[in-house]
Amino acid sequence: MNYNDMLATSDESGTIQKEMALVEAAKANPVAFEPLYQRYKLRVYRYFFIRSGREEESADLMQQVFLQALQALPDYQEQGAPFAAWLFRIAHHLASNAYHRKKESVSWDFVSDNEQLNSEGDPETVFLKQERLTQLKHLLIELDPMKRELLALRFSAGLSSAEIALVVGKSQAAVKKQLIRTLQKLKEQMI
Amino acid sequence: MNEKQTEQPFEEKYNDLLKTSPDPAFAQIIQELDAICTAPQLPASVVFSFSIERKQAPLDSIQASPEIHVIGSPKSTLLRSTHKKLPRSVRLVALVATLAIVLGALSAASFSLGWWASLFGNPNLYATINQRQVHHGVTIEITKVYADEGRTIIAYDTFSNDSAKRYIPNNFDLVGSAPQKQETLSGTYGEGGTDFFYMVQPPFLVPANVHTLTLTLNIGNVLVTQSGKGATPSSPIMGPWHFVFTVPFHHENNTHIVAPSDGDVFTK
Repeated sequence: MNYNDMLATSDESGTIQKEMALVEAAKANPVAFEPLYQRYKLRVYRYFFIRSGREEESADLMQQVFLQALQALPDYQEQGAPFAAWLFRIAHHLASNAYHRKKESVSWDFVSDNEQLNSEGDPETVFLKQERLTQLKHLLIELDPMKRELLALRFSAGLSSAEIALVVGKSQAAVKKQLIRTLQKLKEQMI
Repeated sequence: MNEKQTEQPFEEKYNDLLKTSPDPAFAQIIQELDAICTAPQLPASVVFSFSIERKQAPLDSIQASPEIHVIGSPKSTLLRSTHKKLPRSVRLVALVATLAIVLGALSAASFSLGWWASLFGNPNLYATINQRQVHHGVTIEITKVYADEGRTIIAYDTFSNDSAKRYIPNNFDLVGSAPQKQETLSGTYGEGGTDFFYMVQPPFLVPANVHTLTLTLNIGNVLVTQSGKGATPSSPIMGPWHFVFTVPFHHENNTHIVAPSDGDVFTK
Protein backbone atom coordinates (compact mmCIF):
# COMPACT_ATOMS: atom_id res chain seq x y z
CA MET A 1 0.00 0.00 0.00
CA ASN A 2 1.42 3.39 -0.89
CA TYR A 3 0.56 6.76 0.53
CA ASN A 4 -1.97 7.61 -2.16
CA ASP A 5 -3.88 4.41 -1.40
CA MET A 6 -3.92 5.40 2.22
CA LEU A 7 -5.22 8.84 1.37
CA ALA A 8 -8.02 7.36 -0.67
CA THR A 9 -9.15 5.19 2.21
CA SER A 10 -8.52 7.55 5.06
CA ASP A 11 -11.27 9.49 6.73
CA GLU A 12 -8.64 12.00 7.64
CA SER A 13 -7.42 12.76 4.15
CA GLY A 14 -8.17 16.43 4.68
CA THR A 15 -6.07 16.47 7.81
CA ILE A 16 -3.27 14.63 6.06
CA GLN A 17 -3.36 17.05 3.18
CA LYS A 18 -3.16 19.96 5.58
CA GLU A 19 -0.23 18.27 7.20
CA MET A 20 1.45 17.87 3.85
CA ALA A 21 1.08 21.59 3.40
CA LEU A 22 2.92 22.05 6.69
CA VAL A 23 5.61 19.65 5.57
CA GLU A 24 6.04 21.46 2.26
CA ALA A 25 6.22 24.76 4.09
CA ALA A 26 8.89 23.34 6.38
CA LYS A 27 10.85 22.03 3.40
CA ALA A 28 10.77 25.47 1.83
CA ASN A 29 11.63 27.21 5.07
CA PRO A 30 12.70 25.04 8.00
CA VAL A 31 11.62 27.72 10.43
CA ALA A 32 8.11 26.54 9.62
CA PHE A 33 8.92 23.15 11.13
CA GLU A 34 7.66 24.25 14.50
CA PRO A 35 3.96 23.44 13.95
CA LEU A 36 4.93 19.87 13.11
CA TYR A 37 7.05 19.69 16.22
CA GLN A 38 4.18 20.99 18.30
CA ARG A 39 1.80 18.49 16.75
CA TYR A 40 3.95 15.42 17.35
CA LYS A 41 6.13 16.11 20.35
CA LEU A 42 3.83 14.55 22.92
CA ARG A 43 3.18 11.44 20.84
CA VAL A 44 6.87 10.92 20.24
CA TYR A 45 7.64 11.48 23.90
CA ARG A 46 4.97 9.00 25.01
CA TYR A 47 6.27 6.44 22.55
CA PHE A 48 9.69 6.56 24.18
CA PHE A 49 8.46 6.99 27.72
CA ILE A 50 6.15 4.01 27.56
CA ARG A 51 9.16 1.93 26.60
CA SER A 52 11.61 3.07 29.24
CA GLY A 53 9.72 4.98 31.91
CA ARG A 54 12.59 7.45 32.13
CA GLU A 55 11.65 11.08 31.62
CA GLU A 56 15.04 12.48 30.78
CA GLU A 57 16.02 9.72 28.39
CA SER A 58 12.66 9.91 26.66
CA ALA A 59 12.97 13.67 26.29
CA ASP A 60 16.46 13.33 24.86
CA LEU A 61 15.37 10.71 22.37
CA MET A 62 12.39 12.83 21.41
CA GLN A 63 14.69 15.73 20.70
CA GLN A 64 16.95 13.54 18.62
CA VAL A 65 13.98 12.44 16.55
CA PHE A 66 13.08 16.00 15.69
CA LEU A 67 16.63 17.02 14.94
CA GLN A 68 17.08 14.04 12.66
CA ALA A 69 13.74 14.74 11.05
CA LEU A 70 14.70 18.33 10.46
CA GLN A 71 17.95 17.30 8.83
CA ALA A 72 16.28 14.68 6.66
CA LEU A 73 13.21 16.70 5.76
CA PRO A 74 14.50 17.85 2.35
CA ASP A 75 14.66 14.20 1.30
CA TYR A 76 11.17 13.36 2.52
CA GLN A 77 8.82 12.33 -0.29
CA GLU A 78 5.13 12.32 0.44
CA GLN A 79 4.57 9.34 -1.83
CA GLY A 80 6.78 7.23 0.37
CA ALA A 81 4.92 7.49 3.65
CA PRO A 82 2.72 9.94 5.47
CA PHE A 83 4.66 12.26 7.71
CA ALA A 84 3.59 10.50 10.93
CA ALA A 85 4.89 7.16 9.69
CA TRP A 86 8.08 8.75 8.42
CA LEU A 87 8.66 10.48 11.75
CA PHE A 88 8.00 7.36 13.80
CA ARG A 89 10.24 5.33 11.55
CA ILE A 90 13.02 7.59 12.81
CA ALA A 91 11.77 7.10 16.37
CA HIS A 92 11.49 3.34 15.89
CA HIS A 93 15.10 3.10 14.72
CA LEU A 94 16.34 5.30 17.53
CA ALA A 95 14.42 3.24 20.07
CA SER A 96 15.67 -0.02 18.62
CA ASN A 97 19.25 1.15 18.82
CA ALA A 98 18.94 2.71 22.25
CA TYR A 99 17.10 -0.11 23.97
CA HIS A 100 18.82 -2.92 22.12
CA ARG A 101 22.19 -1.57 23.18
CA LYS A 102 21.08 -1.45 26.76
CA LYS A 103 19.44 -4.85 26.49
CA GLU A 104 16.46 -3.54 28.36
CA SER A 105 12.93 -4.60 27.85
CA VAL A 106 9.84 -2.52 27.76
CA SER A 107 8.62 -1.61 31.18
CA TRP A 108 5.10 -0.55 31.91
CA ASP A 109 5.61 -0.42 35.65
CA PHE A 110 6.44 3.23 35.87
CA VAL A 111 2.96 4.54 35.24
CA SER A 112 1.53 5.15 38.63
CA ASP A 113 -1.93 3.94 39.32
CA ASN A 114 -3.11 7.46 39.91
CA GLU A 115 -2.07 8.47 36.43
CA GLN A 116 -3.59 5.62 34.60
CA LEU A 117 -7.24 6.25 35.12
CA ASN A 118 -9.31 8.99 36.55
CA SER A 119 -10.27 7.99 40.03
CA GLU A 120 -13.95 8.18 39.38
CA GLY A 121 -16.55 6.22 41.28
CA ASP A 122 -16.60 4.74 44.71
CA PRO A 123 -13.43 3.46 46.36
CA GLU A 124 -14.24 -0.15 45.50
CA THR A 125 -14.61 0.67 41.80
CA VAL A 126 -11.37 2.61 41.83
CA PHE A 127 -9.64 -0.26 43.57
CA LEU A 128 -10.94 -2.77 41.02
CA LYS A 129 -9.84 -0.55 38.14
CA GLN A 130 -6.37 -0.29 39.57
CA GLU A 131 -6.22 -4.00 40.16
CA ARG A 132 -7.08 -4.59 36.51
CA LEU A 133 -4.42 -2.15 35.39
CA THR A 134 -1.82 -3.81 37.55
CA GLN A 135 -2.77 -7.15 36.05
CA LEU A 136 -2.68 -5.69 32.56
CA LYS A 137 0.79 -4.26 33.12
CA HIS A 138 2.07 -7.66 34.18
CA LEU A 139 0.64 -9.20 31.04
CA LEU A 140 2.23 -6.50 28.91
CA ILE A 141 5.63 -7.13 30.43
CA GLU A 142 5.39 -10.76 29.43
CA LEU A 143 4.44 -9.97 25.85
CA ASP A 144 6.69 -10.66 22.91
CA PRO A 145 8.73 -7.47 22.19
CA MET A 146 7.32 -7.09 18.70
CA LYS A 147 3.78 -7.22 20.01
CA ARG A 148 4.62 -4.64 22.63
CA GLU A 149 6.15 -2.46 19.95
CA LEU A 150 2.94 -2.63 17.94
CA LEU A 151 0.94 -1.65 21.01
CA ALA A 152 3.30 1.25 21.72
CA LEU A 153 2.98 2.49 18.15
CA ARG A 154 -0.80 2.11 18.19
CA PHE A 155 -1.63 3.40 21.65
CA SER A 156 1.22 5.74 22.61
CA ALA A 157 2.21 7.05 19.20
CA GLY A 158 -1.38 7.00 18.01
CA LEU A 159 -0.57 5.57 14.60
CA SER A 160 -3.07 3.73 12.43
CA SER A 161 -2.43 0.17 11.33
CA ALA A 162 -1.44 1.45 7.90
CA GLU A 163 1.08 3.84 9.39
CA ILE A 164 2.48 1.19 11.73
CA ALA A 165 2.91 -1.08 8.73
CA LEU A 166 5.13 1.52 7.11
CA VAL A 167 7.14 1.94 10.30
CA VAL A 168 7.83 -1.74 10.95
CA GLY A 169 7.94 -2.88 7.34
CA LYS A 170 4.98 -5.24 7.38
CA SER A 171 1.68 -5.22 5.55
CA GLN A 172 -1.24 -3.32 6.98
CA ALA A 173 -3.28 -6.51 7.13
CA ALA A 174 -0.56 -8.29 9.08
CA VAL A 175 -0.23 -5.44 11.54
CA LYS A 176 -3.96 -5.20 12.12
CA LYS A 177 -4.28 -8.94 12.49
CA GLN A 178 -1.44 -9.02 15.00
CA LEU A 179 -2.89 -6.13 16.99
CA ILE A 180 -6.32 -7.75 17.19
CA ARG A 181 -4.85 -11.09 18.16
CA THR A 182 -2.78 -9.46 20.89
CA LEU A 183 -5.76 -7.57 22.24
CA GLN A 184 -7.93 -10.68 22.18
CA LYS A 185 -5.27 -12.61 24.01
CA LEU A 186 -4.98 -9.90 26.64
CA LYS A 187 -8.74 -9.85 27.01
CA GLU A 188 -8.85 -13.60 27.59
CA GLN A 189 -6.04 -13.40 30.13
CA MET A 190 -7.76 -10.60 32.01
CA ILE A 191 -11.00 -12.47 32.53
CA MET B 1 4.21 27.75 20.42
CA ASN B 2 1.00 26.03 21.13
CA GLU B 3 0.75 23.36 23.75
CA LYS B 4 -2.60 22.15 22.61
CA GLN B 5 -2.84 18.47 21.90
CA THR B 6 -6.29 17.56 20.72
CA GLU B 7 -7.41 14.08 21.62
CA GLN B 8 -9.82 12.24 19.38
CA PRO B 9 -12.93 10.70 20.93
CA PHE B 10 -12.24 7.15 22.06
CA GLU B 11 -14.64 5.50 19.59
CA GLU B 12 -13.20 7.45 16.70
CA LYS B 13 -9.63 6.88 17.75
CA TYR B 14 -9.96 3.11 17.91
CA ASN B 15 -12.78 2.56 15.46
CA ASP B 16 -10.71 0.15 13.36
CA LEU B 17 -10.17 -2.11 16.36
CA LEU B 18 -13.51 -1.72 18.08
CA LYS B 19 -15.49 -2.70 15.01
CA THR B 20 -13.76 -6.08 14.89
CA SER B 21 -15.47 -7.27 18.06
CA PRO B 22 -18.76 -6.37 19.75
CA ASP B 23 -17.48 -7.81 23.04
CA PRO B 24 -17.45 -5.12 25.78
CA ALA B 25 -14.46 -6.81 27.38
CA PHE B 26 -12.50 -6.23 24.17
CA ALA B 27 -13.39 -2.54 24.24
CA GLN B 28 -12.42 -2.41 27.89
CA ILE B 29 -8.94 -3.69 27.17
CA ILE B 30 -8.52 -1.03 24.50
CA GLN B 31 -9.72 1.63 26.91
CA GLU B 32 -7.32 0.50 29.60
CA LEU B 33 -4.39 0.40 27.22
CA ASP B 34 -5.27 3.85 26.04
CA ALA B 35 -5.35 5.06 29.64
CA ILE B 36 -1.92 3.61 30.33
CA CYS B 37 -0.32 4.81 27.12
CA THR B 38 -1.66 8.36 27.10
CA ALA B 39 -0.93 9.05 30.75
CA PRO B 40 2.65 10.29 30.36
CA GLN B 41 2.94 14.04 29.91
CA LEU B 42 5.96 16.00 28.79
CA PRO B 43 7.95 17.23 31.76
CA ALA B 44 7.46 20.98 32.08
CA SER B 45 11.14 21.57 31.64
CA VAL B 46 11.08 19.99 28.20
CA VAL B 47 8.56 22.42 26.79
CA PHE B 48 11.35 24.73 25.76
CA SER B 49 11.08 26.69 28.96
CA PHE B 50 14.02 28.75 27.98
CA SER B 51 13.44 31.57 30.37
CA ILE B 52 12.89 29.40 33.41
CA GLU B 53 15.92 27.30 32.64
CA ARG B 54 17.89 30.44 32.08
CA LYS B 55 16.95 31.78 35.46
CA GLN B 56 18.08 28.59 37.12
CA ALA B 57 21.44 28.67 35.43
CA PRO B 58 23.76 31.59 36.09
CA LEU B 59 24.88 33.28 32.91
CA ASP B 60 28.52 32.45 33.26
CA SER B 61 27.81 28.80 33.98
CA ILE B 62 26.45 28.18 30.50
CA GLN B 63 29.39 27.48 28.30
CA ALA B 64 29.39 26.30 24.76
CA SER B 65 28.65 22.64 25.02
CA PRO B 66 30.49 19.83 23.25
CA GLU B 67 27.30 18.50 21.76
CA ILE B 68 26.86 21.61 19.70
CA HIS B 69 29.71 20.47 17.54
CA VAL B 70 27.96 17.36 16.31
CA ILE B 71 24.75 18.98 15.14
CA GLY B 72 25.81 19.11 11.54
CA SER B 73 26.43 15.41 11.43
CA PRO B 74 23.70 13.11 10.20
CA LYS B 75 24.74 10.70 12.93
CA SER B 76 24.27 13.30 15.58
CA THR B 77 24.08 12.01 19.09
CA LEU B 78 22.97 15.30 20.46
CA LEU B 79 22.26 15.31 24.16
CA ARG B 80 22.45 11.57 24.55
CA SER B 81 26.19 11.72 24.20
CA THR B 82 26.36 14.20 27.04
CA HIS B 83 23.61 12.66 29.04
CA LYS B 84 25.58 12.50 32.22
CA LYS B 85 27.94 15.34 31.61
CA LEU B 86 25.71 18.36 31.62
CA PRO B 87 22.74 19.44 33.68
CA ARG B 88 19.42 19.50 31.89
CA SER B 89 19.26 23.28 32.00
CA VAL B 90 22.44 23.58 29.98
CA ARG B 91 21.35 20.93 27.52
CA LEU B 92 18.00 22.57 26.99
CA VAL B 93 19.61 25.92 26.38
CA ALA B 94 21.89 24.19 23.93
CA LEU B 95 18.96 22.53 22.24
CA VAL B 96 17.12 25.78 21.75
CA ALA B 97 20.24 27.34 20.37
CA THR B 98 20.76 24.29 18.22
CA LEU B 99 17.30 24.46 16.75
CA ALA B 100 17.94 28.07 15.93
CA ILE B 101 21.21 27.05 14.30
CA VAL B 102 19.68 24.26 12.28
CA LEU B 103 16.67 26.26 11.27
CA GLY B 104 18.78 29.21 10.39
CA ALA B 105 21.48 27.39 8.55
CA LEU B 106 19.10 25.30 6.52
CA SER B 107 17.22 28.37 5.46
CA ALA B 108 20.14 30.63 4.91
CA ALA B 109 18.39 32.28 2.05
CA SER B 110 19.03 35.82 1.13
CA PHE B 111 17.18 37.96 3.57
CA SER B 112 17.99 41.57 3.69
CA LEU B 113 16.24 44.69 4.80
CA GLY B 114 12.83 43.42 3.83
CA TRP B 115 12.62 40.74 6.49
CA TRP B 116 10.84 42.67 9.12
CA ALA B 117 7.54 43.29 7.44
CA SER B 118 6.93 39.63 6.74
CA LEU B 119 7.41 38.65 10.34
CA PHE B 120 5.55 40.78 12.78
CA GLY B 121 2.92 42.56 10.75
CA ASN B 122 2.73 46.11 11.93
CA PRO B 123 6.19 47.23 13.08
CA ASN B 124 4.65 50.36 14.57
CA LEU B 125 3.54 48.26 17.51
CA TYR B 126 7.17 47.88 18.49
CA ALA B 127 9.53 50.33 20.04
CA THR B 128 12.56 50.95 17.89
CA ILE B 129 15.74 50.48 19.89
CA ASN B 130 18.62 50.15 17.42
CA GLN B 131 21.15 49.76 20.21
CA ARG B 132 24.45 48.15 19.29
CA GLN B 133 27.23 46.52 21.24
CA VAL B 134 30.43 45.10 19.77
CA HIS B 135 32.64 42.42 21.29
CA HIS B 136 35.55 40.81 19.46
CA GLY B 137 34.26 42.24 16.19
CA VAL B 138 30.78 40.78 16.57
CA THR B 139 27.95 43.27 16.63
CA ILE B 140 24.61 42.56 18.23
CA GLU B 141 21.95 45.12 17.60
CA ILE B 142 18.65 45.20 19.46
CA THR B 143 16.26 46.43 16.81
CA LYS B 144 12.70 46.38 18.09
CA VAL B 145 10.94 45.46 21.29
CA TYR B 146 7.34 44.95 22.26
CA ALA B 147 6.06 44.37 25.79
CA ASP B 148 2.54 43.86 27.01
CA GLU B 149 0.69 41.78 29.57
CA GLY B 150 0.97 38.66 27.44
CA ARG B 151 4.55 38.60 26.23
CA THR B 152 7.85 40.39 25.76
CA ILE B 153 9.33 40.22 22.29
CA ILE B 154 12.86 41.35 21.49
CA ALA B 155 14.15 41.34 17.93
CA TYR B 156 17.86 41.59 17.32
CA ASP B 157 20.49 41.14 14.62
CA THR B 158 23.98 39.69 14.80
CA PHE B 159 26.73 40.39 12.29
CA SER B 160 30.41 41.23 11.75
CA ASN B 161 32.65 42.43 8.94
CA ASP B 162 33.12 38.83 7.87
CA SER B 163 29.96 38.25 5.86
CA ALA B 164 30.74 34.53 5.58
CA LYS B 165 30.27 34.05 9.29
CA ARG B 166 27.06 33.94 11.19
CA TYR B 167 26.59 34.35 14.90
CA ILE B 168 24.04 32.60 17.04
CA PRO B 169 23.44 33.83 20.56
CA ASN B 170 24.03 30.93 22.90
CA ASN B 171 22.59 32.25 26.13
CA PHE B 172 21.17 35.39 27.56
CA ASP B 173 19.84 36.92 30.73
CA LEU B 174 16.91 39.31 30.75
CA VAL B 175 15.94 41.37 33.77
CA GLY B 176 13.18 43.95 33.93
CA SER B 177 12.33 46.86 36.16
CA ALA B 178 9.28 44.84 37.24
CA PRO B 179 9.14 41.17 38.19
CA GLN B 180 8.67 38.70 35.39
CA LYS B 181 5.81 36.28 35.25
CA GLN B 182 6.94 32.69 35.74
CA GLU B 183 5.56 30.71 32.86
CA THR B 184 6.71 28.66 29.94
CA LEU B 185 6.03 31.05 27.11
CA SER B 186 9.43 31.51 25.61
CA GLY B 187 11.94 30.57 23.01
CA THR B 188 14.48 32.10 20.74
CA TYR B 189 14.33 31.76 17.03
CA GLY B 190 16.43 32.43 14.00
CA GLU B 191 14.37 33.73 11.17
CA GLY B 192 15.20 33.49 7.49
CA GLY B 193 18.90 33.27 8.06
CA THR B 194 21.01 33.19 11.11
CA ASP B 195 21.42 36.97 11.24
CA PHE B 196 17.99 37.82 12.52
CA PHE B 197 16.58 36.61 15.76
CA TYR B 198 13.72 37.27 18.04
CA MET B 199 13.08 36.03 21.51
CA VAL B 200 9.68 35.66 23.06
CA GLN B 201 9.70 35.91 26.81
CA PRO B 202 7.05 35.91 29.50
CA PRO B 203 5.54 39.27 30.35
CA PHE B 204 6.66 41.55 33.13
CA LEU B 205 4.21 42.41 35.87
CA VAL B 206 4.18 46.15 35.45
CA PRO B 207 1.83 48.03 37.81
CA ALA B 208 -1.20 49.59 36.15
CA ASN B 209 -0.01 53.14 36.81
CA VAL B 210 3.38 52.53 35.20
CA HIS B 211 3.63 52.73 31.44
CA THR B 212 7.24 51.97 30.71
CA LEU B 213 9.48 48.97 31.27
CA THR B 214 13.23 49.09 31.54
CA LEU B 215 14.95 45.94 30.41
CA THR B 216 18.52 44.80 30.92
CA LEU B 217 19.66 42.18 28.46
CA ASN B 218 22.99 40.40 28.65
CA ILE B 219 23.88 38.02 25.85
CA GLY B 220 26.64 35.88 27.28
CA ASN B 221 28.26 34.40 24.22
CA VAL B 222 27.59 33.63 20.58
CA LEU B 223 28.36 30.56 18.53
CA VAL B 224 29.97 31.03 15.14
CA THR B 225 28.98 29.22 11.98
CA GLN B 226 30.42 29.52 8.50
CA SER B 227 28.00 30.19 5.66
CA GLY B 228 27.64 27.25 3.33
CA LYS B 229 29.31 24.83 5.73
CA GLY B 230 26.26 23.49 7.42
CA ALA B 231 25.20 24.07 10.93
CA THR B 232 28.33 23.09 12.77
CA PRO B 233 29.41 25.96 14.95
CA SER B 234 32.92 26.65 16.12
CA SER B 235 33.99 27.81 19.54
CA PRO B 236 31.93 30.55 21.10
CA ILE B 237 32.83 34.19 21.21
CA MET B 238 32.44 35.47 24.71
CA GLY B 239 30.58 38.62 25.64
CA PRO B 240 28.64 39.78 27.36
CA TRP B 241 26.81 42.10 25.04
CA HIS B 242 25.08 44.33 27.51
CA PHE B 243 21.97 46.38 26.75
CA VAL B 244 19.70 48.57 28.82
CA PHE B 245 16.63 50.09 27.21
CA THR B 246 13.26 51.41 28.18
CA VAL B 247 10.16 50.62 26.16
CA PRO B 248 6.48 51.46 26.44
CA PHE B 249 4.54 48.85 28.33
CA HIS B 250 1.13 48.09 26.87
CA HIS B 251 -1.47 47.26 29.48
CA GLU B 252 -3.28 44.80 27.26
CA ASN B 253 -2.86 41.27 25.96
CA ASN B 254 -2.47 41.94 22.27
CA THR B 255 -3.34 38.82 20.36
CA HIS B 256 -2.65 40.53 17.04
CA ILE B 257 1.02 39.94 17.64
CA VAL B 258 1.84 36.82 15.67
CA ALA B 259 4.68 34.35 15.86
CA PRO B 260 7.08 34.84 13.00
CA SER B 261 7.68 31.13 12.74
CA ASP B 262 4.16 29.91 12.17
CA GLY B 263 1.81 32.83 12.17
CA ASP B 264 0.05 31.64 15.31
CA VAL B 265 -1.05 34.31 17.67
CA PHE B 266 0.81 34.42 20.92
CA THR B 267 -2.02 33.15 22.99
CA LYS B 268 -1.53 30.99 25.97
